[in-house]
Amino acid sequence: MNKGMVILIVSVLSLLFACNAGENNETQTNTVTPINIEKGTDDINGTLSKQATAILNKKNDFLSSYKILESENELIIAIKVDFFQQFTEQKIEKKLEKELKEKLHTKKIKVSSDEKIYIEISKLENNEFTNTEKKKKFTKLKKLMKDNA
Amino acid sequence: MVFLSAFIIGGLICVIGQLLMDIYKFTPGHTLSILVVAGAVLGSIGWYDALIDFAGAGATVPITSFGNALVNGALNEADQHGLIGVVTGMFEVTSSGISAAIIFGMIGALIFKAKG
Amino acid sequence: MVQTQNSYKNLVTKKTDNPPILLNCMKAFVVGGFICVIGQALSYFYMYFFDFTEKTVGNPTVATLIFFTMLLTGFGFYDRIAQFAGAGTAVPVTGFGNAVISAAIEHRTEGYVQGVGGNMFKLAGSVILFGVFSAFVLALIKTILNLWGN
Repeated sequence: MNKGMVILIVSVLSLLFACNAGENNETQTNTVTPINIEKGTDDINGTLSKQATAILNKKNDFLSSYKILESENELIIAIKVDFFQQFTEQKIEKKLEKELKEKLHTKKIKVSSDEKIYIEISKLENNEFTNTEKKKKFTKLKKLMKDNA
Repeated sequence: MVFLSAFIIGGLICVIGQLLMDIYKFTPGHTLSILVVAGAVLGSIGWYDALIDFAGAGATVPITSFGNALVNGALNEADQHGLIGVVTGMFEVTSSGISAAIIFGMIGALIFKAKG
Repeated sequence: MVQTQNSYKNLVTKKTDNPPILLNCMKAFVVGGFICVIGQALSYFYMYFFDFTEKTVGNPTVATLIFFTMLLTGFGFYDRIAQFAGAGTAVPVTGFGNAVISAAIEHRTEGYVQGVGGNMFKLAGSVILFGVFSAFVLALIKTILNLWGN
């Protein structure tokens, strides 16, 4: 049974390491196009998003990727941090939100490290939704972020 | 990747439980109670939520998360309603794990026959 | 007389004192970790297809795991897995679920009120007691400290 245990452990661990290695190719270099609900994804005229992008692109040391959703001059930003920084994910989130609010001179910015928000914004990127549906999603996301009990 | 950290952290918490049972000869009841209290302690200083951010299900699946959920519920209510919130908050978040165990226990008793 | 009692005591401790600790820990690590990995997969499932956030996804994840525990317990497979894995199945919520569910199933013949209701919480009771009470005390302390700090 001892040998069997060793084989089991080794195979499980190597499976996990394999998955881990595969994922690393995904870390985006932050040339993400922010999604602006009003004007469609091609036209990044939302200057808020542009400014936010400029700021966030400099945070490569702990930010592994992010997604921006803009609607009526409000921003929702979903961030993903590097693996080992995940212990301090929430502090990073709060710090970023404060910094963005100061630099962009608006209070209508919400940053979330919650993966659900990231997933939902990624779904919107498929562009199969109408504008009204996207706006509904926006308000739903805001509600989800508040619900964090 | 979070699956790896879930595996490792979850495994480690189980190893702690195993050591408590093997070395200190605690019964499973003792061990689980100790772990729940540990979860509550770590939850009250904010470390358990950070662990959940790092390990995902590796921290929410072990029984330690019950303690964390209970403390968080109490603290959230206290934030909103002051000191009395501590008591009322406990019952708001009696954690889905406990409810699920009770409900499925009853369903199990209804459906299944006891094996010899 | 005392000498035979002492040597008997030594004999007993020598024969019963050797759980293979390292092997048990390895088994617990692998099985416990594996259950958590399943939990993580469930979490992603609920986050992707339903409206659960990272903060709230623990609830359906745990409930689903306990549901599976009910099936395993009801069909009789859980005990063998638990014997192999020790703390690997006892520490995750599956252990808690099994304790409640197996007691409920076993005592059904004694009636639902006395049998099921009266025996369900044999193990779970101490977990709930100490969980709730310690959370209460800790939250109380922290809230009072916060109030004083202000």
